[in-house]
Amino acid sequence: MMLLELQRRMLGDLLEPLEGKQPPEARAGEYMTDSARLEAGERLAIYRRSYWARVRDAVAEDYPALRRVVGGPRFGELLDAYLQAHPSRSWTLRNLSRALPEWLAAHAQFAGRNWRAAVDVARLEWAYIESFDAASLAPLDAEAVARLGPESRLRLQPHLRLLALESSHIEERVLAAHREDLSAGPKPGAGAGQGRIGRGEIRRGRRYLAVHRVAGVVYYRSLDAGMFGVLRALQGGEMEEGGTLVEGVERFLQSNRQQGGVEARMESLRETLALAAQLGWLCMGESLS
Amino acid sequence: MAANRFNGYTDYGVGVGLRIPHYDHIFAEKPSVGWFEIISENYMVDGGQPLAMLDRILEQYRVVQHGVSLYFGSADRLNQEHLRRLKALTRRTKTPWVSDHLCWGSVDGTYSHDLLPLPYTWEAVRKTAANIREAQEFLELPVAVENVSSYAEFHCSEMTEWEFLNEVAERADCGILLDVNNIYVSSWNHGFDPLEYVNAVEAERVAQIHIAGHSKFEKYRLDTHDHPVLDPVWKLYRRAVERCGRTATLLEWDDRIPSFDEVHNEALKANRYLPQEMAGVSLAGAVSDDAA
Ligand SMILES: [Fe+2]
Repeated sequence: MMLLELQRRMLGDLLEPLEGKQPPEARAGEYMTDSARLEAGERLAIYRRSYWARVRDAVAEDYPALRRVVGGPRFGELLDAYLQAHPSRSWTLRNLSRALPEWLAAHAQFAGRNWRAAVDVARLEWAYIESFDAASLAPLDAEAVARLGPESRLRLQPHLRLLALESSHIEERVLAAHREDLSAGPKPGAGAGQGRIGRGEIRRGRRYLAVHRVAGVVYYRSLDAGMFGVLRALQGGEMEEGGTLVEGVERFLQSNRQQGGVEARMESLRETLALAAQLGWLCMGESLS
Repeated sequence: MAANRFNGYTDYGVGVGLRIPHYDHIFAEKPSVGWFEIISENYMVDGGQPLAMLDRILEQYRVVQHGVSLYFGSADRLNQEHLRRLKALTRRTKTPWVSDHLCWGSVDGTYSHDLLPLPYTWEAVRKTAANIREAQEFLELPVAVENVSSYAEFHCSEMTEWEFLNEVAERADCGILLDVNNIYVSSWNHGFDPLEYVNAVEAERVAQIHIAGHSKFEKYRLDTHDHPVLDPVWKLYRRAVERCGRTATLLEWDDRIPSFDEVHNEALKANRYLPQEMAGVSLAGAVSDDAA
């Protein structure tokens, strides 16, 4: 058997769900040998069980609050369905759960009656993970902020994540779930205090959040609609390279045409820039030259 | 022999794996430790706490990088983004060598995140050696390849694991990270003599040695890194350093991690077997005569 063929066969076998109808162990003898103590199928099973334990743990560890929203048994089904749809395509396990919030948004049946809240909780938890180890740039100091002109090239802190959620009152529950899991030790779900987050605890209502890092610790901060709009506009477009301030402002004014007059929007813009500068979110973008 | 071109001619002695639960103790007590081994992938991120902690460690300790997901034996090409990030990290840590495993773990861009066993075929020798060469050239550092614990073997294998390891190391012209616990675990699972393995390894290529604990099940042994080192593994270690000389040695403890002191004391037991002087060079710095 050639190397590529063998690797495709074995990885295909490992990815077979544990509760599948046709366990690949039955045919492992086609490429694996028996040992004195174990048959080929039992040898494959050691790897298959360990594959599923590893990937389930990795995702579960990222979403302790989501587990509390959907409930333990259903969460197990959610994990398996997600992992079958999105096996790892990255060299690092850190990225394994990246696609979960969007996947859950499209697969309501795995979240039960709390689906919308579950999607919001998942978005918030993923934002925490991204913010935790994203890059951090030197923020503009007060003097540099005072000198900003229309052509200044700006970008926002790479560890800042902006979220528009449809449920309120989830932030504190998310934080509490993370704290509980942390103090319970490394095995996700191992600890006590697995309190379900009940339906009554979550309310509908637009909520804007910024998730960011201060001295290595990730925090959230609520924003009003105006500030969220400004920051989104500044972050949009050529955000990676940093766009000019005037481009960001234009994006903001265009995207929020229906909300209030120009004066009100300009006021919101000034307030947001002041707050962003104070929180160290404004950084110099790459210059074009 | 033991300070060789595969470990940058260093003499690091006994080290321990850097693990997050030990950070507080290390920063507070500043224990004297020969060196720390880090899992490269844990620090191949853009910023934040992981890198901040690593920088604090680097201020006081020597660090060697050990990777878990380059997958030299994958039929796929090496992941180029991974290599770039790995190289950036080596510049930060100034690691004298870099290690990863003699295994595969991904195919067609889908990853198992496991150290999967290779078929010991000539095709796999060529492919794996080519990948190690590519990594070595790209990183501009010596690469040491580590034997893994395994639970399966394949019909298509054409040689023993130790013949495979030697062939790959020679063709790649790379070092070997000899994990004597992995040799023991695999020998139990596959029914070979672990001493024959240790005796066959090209001693002059051994850059580093791993010791660790494992778990016993009725029908197999599992490489769990959650125990002290077991006696048969110390025996293999003694034989390995008899053949390789004073070699950088690292204790791996990754699960159910006890206190730092407990881990460190377990690692320091290696000094019972490790020659305390390199041939002709006293550790007190006799080399400085030449350097003057
Ligand atoms: Fe090892």
